[in-house]
Amino acid sequence: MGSGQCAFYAPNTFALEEETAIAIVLDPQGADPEEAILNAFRGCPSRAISISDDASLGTGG
Amino acid sequence: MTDFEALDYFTDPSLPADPFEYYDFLLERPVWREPHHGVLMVSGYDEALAVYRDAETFSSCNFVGGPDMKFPVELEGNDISDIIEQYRDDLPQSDQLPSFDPPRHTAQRALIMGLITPKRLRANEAFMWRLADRQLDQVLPKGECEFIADFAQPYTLLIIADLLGVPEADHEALLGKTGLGRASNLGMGEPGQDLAASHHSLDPLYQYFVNAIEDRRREPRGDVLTGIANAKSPDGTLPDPLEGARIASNLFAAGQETTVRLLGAALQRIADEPELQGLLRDKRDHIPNFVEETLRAEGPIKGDFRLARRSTQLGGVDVPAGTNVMVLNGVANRDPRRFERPAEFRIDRANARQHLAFGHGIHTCPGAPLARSEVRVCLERLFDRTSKIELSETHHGPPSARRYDYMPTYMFRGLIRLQLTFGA
Repeated sequence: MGSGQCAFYAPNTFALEEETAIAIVLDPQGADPEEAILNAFRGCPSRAISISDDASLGTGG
Repeated sequence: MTDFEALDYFTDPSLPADPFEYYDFLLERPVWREPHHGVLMVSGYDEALAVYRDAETFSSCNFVGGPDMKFPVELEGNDISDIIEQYRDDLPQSDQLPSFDPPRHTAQRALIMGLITPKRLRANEAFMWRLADRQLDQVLPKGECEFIADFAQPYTLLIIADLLGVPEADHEALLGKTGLGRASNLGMGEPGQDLAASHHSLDPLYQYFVNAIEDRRREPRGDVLTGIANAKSPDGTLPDPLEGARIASNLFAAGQETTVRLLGAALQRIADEPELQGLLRDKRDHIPNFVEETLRAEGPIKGDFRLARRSTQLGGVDVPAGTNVMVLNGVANRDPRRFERPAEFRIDRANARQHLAFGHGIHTCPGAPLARSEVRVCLERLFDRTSKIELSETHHGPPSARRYDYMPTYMFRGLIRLQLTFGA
């Protein structure tokens, strides 16, 4: 969707791709505090983010 | 007493659950430059209207740029129009309608509005009634549901799918592709689970729509997708199918989750206030104004960004060119200068429909009539088929101490989960 919430709350983990405005994962291990990543996860309007216990992340849309 | 000036609207973790005291603080300064990011917060109703009505002065190029949006160059001078035009393609969502300014905006907006005709909306509403029943067939026998994932998400997704012309035979596949509409799928992958299989995404929609647009070019069907497929570029050529897929995908993105949160807010209030629920059940003709008051009090979009193209004044405050402006729809909707006793939820509020939940001006939400019908139809069928709707105390606590989980962002207002129980 490209609302930019994840890139704002966890800027070292996510970025918005300019061309498609789809969020991309910069660091699948997560390069922000856990709280920030959780914030990005819970604030994603397209629910495109998954978090797993081994701290690897995936995203789309 | 809270020192609201020290509180960062964009990051403070206490605000999503209860932003209203902070909103009152903002309403005392209808146009105010907040000190943490330098964003000009526009909270007054009239001031918000003034921004939305003046697309020449306030560009939409930064609408998802956030509070820390950066241009590659300094925004200097009293008119930054040339800088905006030079760099706007580098900004997020620059290829999407909400970020366009006239004249580019005008043509694509007209295309969309020309496709969402009253006739199409009527046919879509007939589908809505069928779909609502089909989904209630699934959730009602259980006596309870997590309303967001079990009902609202698949419901809104399939309604937009139908509006665009996705045949019902493809609906299951579409739900499968996005991972929506399954109770188990709350976005949290199980430990060790394959991530690709567990996460939600609107991403696969792109490929579906590229195929659909190629298909409609070969065989026109008189649906919205055909209209998108055959829309020509300004130079008279047919654009790459990916362009059309972007328009279609953006209609999904813009219309789906926002309506999910609106449905959540409506059901939350109905379940939490038995008296109001009884009144709506008895007097169904109050539903439309209830929806408007819900939009006013709990609109899913908290606000929208604009960029001042040239230096101007707003509500007596100097606004230099290059100012990052956030128009706070949800705050303006509580402006006492416009709405009497704004903190009260009044089902019979005469001017509820003046809310700015759908924005205003040239970028007004094109899906507004759709969203209104979606909530109305959902409520009508829920009232027809249940005797009572209540909040699950296990999940949300007793009436005196309710617990809710709100999306923790500066842009969206809405519940992450809503656990309901139904009386047959």
